[in-house]
Amino acid sequence: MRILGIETSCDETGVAVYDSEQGLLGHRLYSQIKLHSEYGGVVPELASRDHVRKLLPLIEDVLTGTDSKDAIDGVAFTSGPGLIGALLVGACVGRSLAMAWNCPAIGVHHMEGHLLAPLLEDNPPEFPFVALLVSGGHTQLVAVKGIGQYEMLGESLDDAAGEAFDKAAKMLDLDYPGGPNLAKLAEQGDVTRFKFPRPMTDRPGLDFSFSGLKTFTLNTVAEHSLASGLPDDQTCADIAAAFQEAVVDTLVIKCRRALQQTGLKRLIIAGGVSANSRLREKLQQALAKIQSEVFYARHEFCTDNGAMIAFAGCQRLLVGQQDDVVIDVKPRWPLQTLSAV
Amino acid sequence: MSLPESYLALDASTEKCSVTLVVEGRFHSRECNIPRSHAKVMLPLIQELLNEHGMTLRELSKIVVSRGPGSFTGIRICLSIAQGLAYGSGLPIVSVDSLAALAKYASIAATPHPGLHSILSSSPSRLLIIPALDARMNEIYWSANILENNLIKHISEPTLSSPVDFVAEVSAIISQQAANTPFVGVGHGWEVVTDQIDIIQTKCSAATAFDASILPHAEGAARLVLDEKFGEVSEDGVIEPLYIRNEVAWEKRKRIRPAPQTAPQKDS
Repeated sequence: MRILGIETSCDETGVAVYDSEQGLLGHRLYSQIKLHSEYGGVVPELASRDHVRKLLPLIEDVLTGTDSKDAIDGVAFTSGPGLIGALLVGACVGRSLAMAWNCPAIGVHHMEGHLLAPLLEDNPPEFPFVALLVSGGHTQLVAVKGIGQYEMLGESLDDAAGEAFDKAAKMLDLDYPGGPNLAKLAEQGDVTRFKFPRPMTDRPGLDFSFSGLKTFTLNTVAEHSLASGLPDDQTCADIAAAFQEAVVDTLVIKCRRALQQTGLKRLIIAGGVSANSRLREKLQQALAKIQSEVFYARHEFCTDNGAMIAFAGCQRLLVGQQDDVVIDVKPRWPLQTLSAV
Repeated sequence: MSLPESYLALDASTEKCSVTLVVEGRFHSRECNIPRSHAKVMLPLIQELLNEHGMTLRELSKIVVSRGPGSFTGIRICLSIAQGLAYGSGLPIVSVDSLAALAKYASIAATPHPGLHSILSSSPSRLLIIPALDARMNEIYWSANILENNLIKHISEPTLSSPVDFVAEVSAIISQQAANTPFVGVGHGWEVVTDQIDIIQTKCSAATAFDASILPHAEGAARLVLDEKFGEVSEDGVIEPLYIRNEVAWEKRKRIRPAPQTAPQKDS
């Protein structure tokens, strides 16, 4: 079964073709980073405008490049959670294409896409596993028995980890998207100079909170700021390193706890922050000690992409699930409400 | 004589969403007036019409869309659906502006609207039609059109104005070229200036009528393409929405460090 996947939930237009027999045949991504960096964050109306401009040419490109123009058996598109205007573009184009092609279509949960992205790699993890979904919009620990069988173990009570990264980066006047830029700056920093808190790690439970860490960062930046409004370059790097270390440690502690609590031995990490090298490194170290393994997707499939949507949609279409022609996007959509495959 | 074509027209530029299927020169329409439901209802309405007339998308010759101005989200829903259907069926897309679609629709659908009906049934040789849509933020999208021999002719392109400028410009158009021409104002943009309609009426010596309840309709778009030969044809499905409002004041970030070269320099 050959599936066209479309992702437009935020600021990346992603298109891919996945074949259940042959694997991923092709994928393309158009990122709007340049467009939004002037504003220091995603402007929803501009994101929607760019999706409607870029999506169809990208689809044409991928279909031509994979020789799939007359060979698509189903269409998968992100139908939530995300920015409503952005979601609508991908859902409307995707659902209408399927109607014209007379093939089934399915709306995919964006975070299920992320969660299943490591399965696109060679040597994919077997079910069951614990998933850490960590991005600009989500920080969740989920016990995964199978596709669509999700038990929420814990989640952020306030900011998502990626959101905290972006906000801390903004305090250091780094460009949008701040997360990767902050991680880059942290490489130059002395991780021992500042000691940031590891929120909610000293008590039981698997929930997260990152807003206090954000305030702590703000205060540290203010304390060391020069006349320019920023600390000197080395201090900025040291703050970045301390901040990243605090977030990474917090995530690692909770992941280890989640594995111990569930008795599972496999962890997958997915979402934009799962591309963070320090997180990958420290998780590998920590999990080796408890005879557990960590899995993740290649860098380009950690952030938003069409491949994960094509893959997740394909799994559901293969068992006969599909949507009717009523296009219904869901800006909020709890992962636990999905049906099992 | 070639066979009359069959085609589909879509409009979702306001809170009304409408679909028209043209088969053998006849216009069949479906509409829905529930705001924020366009994405949900549009494909079912299209499917209903196609089924009812035993047609498939591939039997059509094109898809006509209103590309704006109007609701940003509505315009994108309409274009995205048209793109998916057209690309998947190998059809060209023909786009018209929603204000022209509104003017055309007013000229053919006046029967339930007494004021308009009495002017149109007198078959004036010329009629000035000003479609206007409420653009929110105290502004109005509008254009000026003349109906002559049942054909719409633009005398001003779609634009965005404050209520004060709108009333002044419409008054000027009437004084300069249409003082003896009957005049109709349609669309909910006129609700924004209800208290100033008498200013416009005094400029016009012929009959006038206003109806804010008439909104853009796919049938107007469908007829514009047939009668007036309006519309831009896109074979590859790429169409630029007509937002008009492009200079929205999204606040740009303030920088401390110099901006990278890809973005414009901002002060500290």
